Amino acid sequence: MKTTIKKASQYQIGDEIVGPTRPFSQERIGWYSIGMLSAAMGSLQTIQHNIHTDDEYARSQGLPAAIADGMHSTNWLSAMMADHFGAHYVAHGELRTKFIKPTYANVPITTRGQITERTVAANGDIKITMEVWCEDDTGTKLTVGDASVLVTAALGE
Amino acid sequence: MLGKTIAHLETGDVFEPIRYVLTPFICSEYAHAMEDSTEWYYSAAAPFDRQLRPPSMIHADKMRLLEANCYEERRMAGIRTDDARIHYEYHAQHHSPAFVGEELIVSGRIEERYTKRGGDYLFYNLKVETSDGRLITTYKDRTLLSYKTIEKGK
Repeated sequence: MKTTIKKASQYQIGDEIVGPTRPFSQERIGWYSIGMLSAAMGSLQTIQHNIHTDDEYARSQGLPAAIADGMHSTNWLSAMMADHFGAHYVAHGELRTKFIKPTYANVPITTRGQITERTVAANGDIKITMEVWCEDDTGTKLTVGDASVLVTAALGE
Repeated sequence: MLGKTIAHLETGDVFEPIRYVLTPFICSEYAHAMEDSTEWYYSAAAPFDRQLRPPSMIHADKMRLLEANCYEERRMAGIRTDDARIHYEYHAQHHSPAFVGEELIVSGRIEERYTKRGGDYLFYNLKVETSDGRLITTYKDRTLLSYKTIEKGK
């Protein structure tokens, strides 16, 4: 499914949004590991060895294999929100995610959302609320949550 | 600082706030890691005309706060305990963007430590603001302290 990105104020209840389908390859998991640690430390770091990057360590922790960081799917959902709602999401957004199933390497993941509520305030601000989730190639939801955006005139369309 | 491992954090523990200045590298590196090509994470693009950070970077702030406060387990420095934790819930509310050059203050507490289905969880409540008092992000987080523990209990 492909959706057309509208102006933020034009989304209506029932509208669906979608991000790209892409696998959590081990290489991508490594990119996130390095980037996350580098951002937290303020300088370029090397890959961390943890349950996301190291199969052996993951097995020692009771997992069948390395799993993707839950923040990885959250970040992909956050990017989908920024794609569709732009500055409104960055300035006045909210995102909640729950990691209900583990995501293993190389599983194709698609980010999705569906608008559940749209309210217009007296000053013209529009609050858009939606369900969001990440699903695998069988349609099984691995990460679920909700998000909202306040679309304000000050930030334009 | 609290001086213990993350697994020893308890309800009501208050983190000593940390401060850091947001750099272009921090913003672009995190955005690159999450494969988000939105230009304002990489340069001073419209409509803000200033480079800013991805809002989900609050998770890196949590790491910074834990690193500074739980010095018996400094994961960023490679000092870890036997138990891997599993992040269970992320909940960020964005109040305003954080721009390159701004000094950020990260603070927070453990709202609750509780046991559910044999696993111990921490419920964090964190806040990021600029040093001149502008609220950036409020954040709630649930983390399972040891996946091994609930696996053994099955």
